[in-house]
Amino acid sequence: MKMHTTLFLICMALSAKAYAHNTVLGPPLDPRTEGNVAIALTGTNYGINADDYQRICGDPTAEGTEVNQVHIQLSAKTGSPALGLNDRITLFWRQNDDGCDSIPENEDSTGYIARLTITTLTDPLVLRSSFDIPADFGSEVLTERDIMEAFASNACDNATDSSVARPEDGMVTLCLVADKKSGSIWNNSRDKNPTGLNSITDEYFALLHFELDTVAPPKPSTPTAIDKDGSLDVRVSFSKGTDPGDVARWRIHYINLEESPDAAAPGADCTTWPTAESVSATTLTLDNLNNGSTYALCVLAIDDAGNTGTPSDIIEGQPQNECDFAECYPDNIQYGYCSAGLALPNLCGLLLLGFLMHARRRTLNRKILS
Amino acid sequence: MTLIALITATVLTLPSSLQSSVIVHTEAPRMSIDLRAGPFTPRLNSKAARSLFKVMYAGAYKNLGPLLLQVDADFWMNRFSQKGVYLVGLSWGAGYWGANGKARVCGLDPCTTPQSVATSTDGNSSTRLSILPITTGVVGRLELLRQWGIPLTLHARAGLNYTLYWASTDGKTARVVTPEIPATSDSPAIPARNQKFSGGLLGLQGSIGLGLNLDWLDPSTGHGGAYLAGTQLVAEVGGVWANSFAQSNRFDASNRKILVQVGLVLDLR
Repeated sequence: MKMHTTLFLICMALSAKAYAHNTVLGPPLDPRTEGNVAIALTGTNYGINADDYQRICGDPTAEGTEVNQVHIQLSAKTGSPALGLNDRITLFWRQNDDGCDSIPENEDSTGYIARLTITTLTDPLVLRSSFDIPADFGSEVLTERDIMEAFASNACDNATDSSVARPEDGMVTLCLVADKKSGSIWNNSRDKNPTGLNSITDEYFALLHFELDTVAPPKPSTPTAIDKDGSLDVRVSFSKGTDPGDVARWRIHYINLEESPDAAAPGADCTTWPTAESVSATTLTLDNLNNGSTYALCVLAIDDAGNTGTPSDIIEGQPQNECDFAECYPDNIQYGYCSAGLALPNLCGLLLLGFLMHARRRTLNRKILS
Repeated sequence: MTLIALITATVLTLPSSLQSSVIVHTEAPRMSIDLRAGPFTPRLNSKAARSLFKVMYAGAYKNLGPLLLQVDADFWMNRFSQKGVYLVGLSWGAGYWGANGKARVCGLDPCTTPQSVATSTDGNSSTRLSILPITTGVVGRLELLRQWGIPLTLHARAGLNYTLYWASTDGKTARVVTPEIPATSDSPAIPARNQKFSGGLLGLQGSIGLGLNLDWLDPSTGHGGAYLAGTQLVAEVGGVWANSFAQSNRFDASNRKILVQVGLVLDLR
């Protein structure tokens, strides 16, 4: 019995950890992962970008439209306190960043999704070291459209009509809260720091933020390219304007003008060129280029919800053959650490000898003093 | 050298009455922490290599190289105090030296001759040469002049070093990449190389120095508390031989000019 309870609490403890890290925006809710989207509830948030919005809320009969079931996977962690029979877990929505303190009373309450009451300690939630929603949460199915409906009841109504404004960008929070039964009632509120007689012990919970951001980042400033050996360092600045998200990374479109001399003619669309994406928002380097060749490039920002912005103006750069100290060094010498084999035993031996003598001297001093 | 001469001259020109009134703390320490710094320029393997270094790195530092920073821990094993204090011990330490520069653009030239390097221009990539000596050896201190109230001490140290070196370009370890050279009727084939410019070298180092006991300036701050037995300003001259005992095919990270370092010694109880 203790083991069952521990397993359950393992899951709940992870939830508490998730709450502590809820400020980092994660990858977009991406349907391209072949069917259902499995989400490890590890504290990242999920962005819904313009493409996701169009796909989820577009015409469900249109070719290529696919609305996925959402799975939330909890994995194991240790923790306490114990939950027991008749305690219950509720899954519900809260808009914006209202938190998960207020638990819906019943299915008619705002945001209610599903509830599970622990009636036996063989409950799947207790038995498994990990569990997912909705498979272990009754028959309730959670879809991407449900997520959109959580933003607003008519969130998808305007999706197919581009002349109508989309729902306001914002955030909804999916809450999973354990509610202990105190005497004959549940208190319907998450109790983090209870005090006093008959108080409820800590009630663990998990939350997951979904951020709707359909605003594309604006056009960045004209970039500059610094010519390096086989590479171009690209510098660009950016003002996020009305985009609620931050730039997560950059995409560079580039082309070798020796191979395609007319590619950068006035009015050219650089987004058709090959691409490279930066790994962060601060470093933009194009590698593996030919020294002496002229490259045309443009840069566009990608925000943390995955929206791609307008490309910058096109600039040119020419990697140059540079010679660093290693390449320029005129003497044919042998590198490496082969003499370490001789040096290290000597150094270690001397070190040991020194400590032994030092210890001996201190011992003698103590004897003299005593 | 200038500092040593200045310290010596200052002390020797003190009025004898003042010298006789100096109170120098006489407690011999258990160990000392020695912090030193001084300009360093690596000897390198050839004149062409030194030309390259000068163009790539040394231009930013004028005639002096960047500072070699060194920390030593001296454990005093035996001490004698007949008309002065003599300390003998073992020492371990580590240092760091780094020079920053710009990669070279040599146009069509291969950039491996002094002429082509001399006419090259700054590239856009930054490059750094780093040297990190790890040292161990014996250390001695002689405070013979203390009996006459002169707060000068002589220092000497000598031992082994294992010197790590590496070059980096834009933060990544630089690599030596050369294509395979096929055999000719006169010479065998030379295989292609793709090696990191980094390694370790075994060598020797030694120095002598002069210290000024700061008790002479202010006994209340020169020593005190539970740990500090004394404080000294030191100036040392010496040399570092870091080329795996003169192996000509190894990188030479020895000092090119006499190594002059100044610093502070903290004597601990």
